[in-house]
Amino acid sequence: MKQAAPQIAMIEADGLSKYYGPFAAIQDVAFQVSEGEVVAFLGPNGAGKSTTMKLLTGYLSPSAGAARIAGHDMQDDRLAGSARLGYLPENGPLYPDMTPFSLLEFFADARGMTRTKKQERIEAVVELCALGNVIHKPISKLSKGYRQRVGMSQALLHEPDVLILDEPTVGLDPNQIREVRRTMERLREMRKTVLLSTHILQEVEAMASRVILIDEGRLKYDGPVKDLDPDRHGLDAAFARLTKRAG
Amino acid sequence: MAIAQALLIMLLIDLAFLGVLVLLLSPLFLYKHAAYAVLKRNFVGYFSNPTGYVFLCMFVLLSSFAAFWPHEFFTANLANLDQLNLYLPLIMLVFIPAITMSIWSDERRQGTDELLLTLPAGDFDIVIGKYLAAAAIFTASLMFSQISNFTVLLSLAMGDVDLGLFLTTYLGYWLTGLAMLSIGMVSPSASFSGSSSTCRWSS
Repeated sequence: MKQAAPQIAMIEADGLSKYYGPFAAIQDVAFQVSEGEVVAFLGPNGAGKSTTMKLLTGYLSPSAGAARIAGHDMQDDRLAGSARLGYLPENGPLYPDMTPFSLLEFFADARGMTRTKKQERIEAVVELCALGNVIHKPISKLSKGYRQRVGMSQALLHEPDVLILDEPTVGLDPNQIREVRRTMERLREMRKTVLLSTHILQEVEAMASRVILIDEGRLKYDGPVKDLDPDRHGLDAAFARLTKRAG
Repeated sequence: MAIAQALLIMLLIDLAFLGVLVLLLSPLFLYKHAAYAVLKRNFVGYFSNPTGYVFLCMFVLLSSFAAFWPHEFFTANLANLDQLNLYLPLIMLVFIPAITMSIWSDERRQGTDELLLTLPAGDFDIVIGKYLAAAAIFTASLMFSQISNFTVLLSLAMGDVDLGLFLTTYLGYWLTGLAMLSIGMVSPSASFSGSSSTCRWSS
């Protein structure tokens, strides 16, 4: 991949910690994602992936440290950061009583798009996420795969530079996963900065250029995918080694 | 004829009242996109499923019962809403939570609050949008009850109803409701889900 000359950190976790009472969900997590990078965020269930992502989007406030999107602190200057951020929360939550079209219209209105801009962007994301067939069906009637795509189209609606995707492929069948990969490919071509969490290791090699791995709320690995597994024992073994589970 | 005319006058006054309200709120709609979008979504959403209509009908039915069922209404022989004044707070104690309960807890249950609260809009915008949606739902419901009760009063009193008294009584109901809505929106949002807040309200 071509490297851009000055690297700007589009996503930055700066010593992030989140405590729930005495329990530390994540502790002193620090990393940066530069413009145009696609980074996989790995870790076993309950490692703190979603918490970290919620902190990065400004949904939760950190107990210590700071989260920055495109240089904007997500506590002090959240609105400027959110304007450039597309977020797909875990399990792709959506309003079941709405249709994909009315949902996209709602988010376009909430982001203050003009009428023409709204039409243009809705058409673009419907095309990008292949939603044409279901655009006027209630979301409660859609399959998991379609719902995930609607969530994705919502995240892409306002042409964000930064995307935070929490498990974009969970619960999808192999065809749908391939489709998500294709979308990721197109996002990479558009030079979007993407942080996507997953615990499916095969996806990492297919989609990301770099891996950030956390376990028990602490950063365990941050580097290229190929260095994660130098001895070619397979990603599974590397994952088990780093997360100290018997492999 | 007199009945239709009085009803028409009342509806015109209602319309003028709503017009002034919309005018007062128009700066909000123009500058706070997120608040307006949330207001629209919640208002339409409430009336796009049958539960909304069931609650509306229940409200109109109960308020008519409370106004005209007690024998005091006929003994007093006055075309006013004295009896409803007694019972409306109780009716609203059930009806207001039916509106406000779901307004936050549904978001949390579906996880959609994550989408709302990561929009480039302040918390104030989202909260005011939600509150105005609840207020709009309540206002619409109250108008149905107003039309129904006014028609009954008019037919019982052969068109001779003190319109000023009637409208100010309803203004009082409206303001009571708005105050109760704001309390109702705070309480369930402190709990985790819609069902648990129902339990809280009913116990």
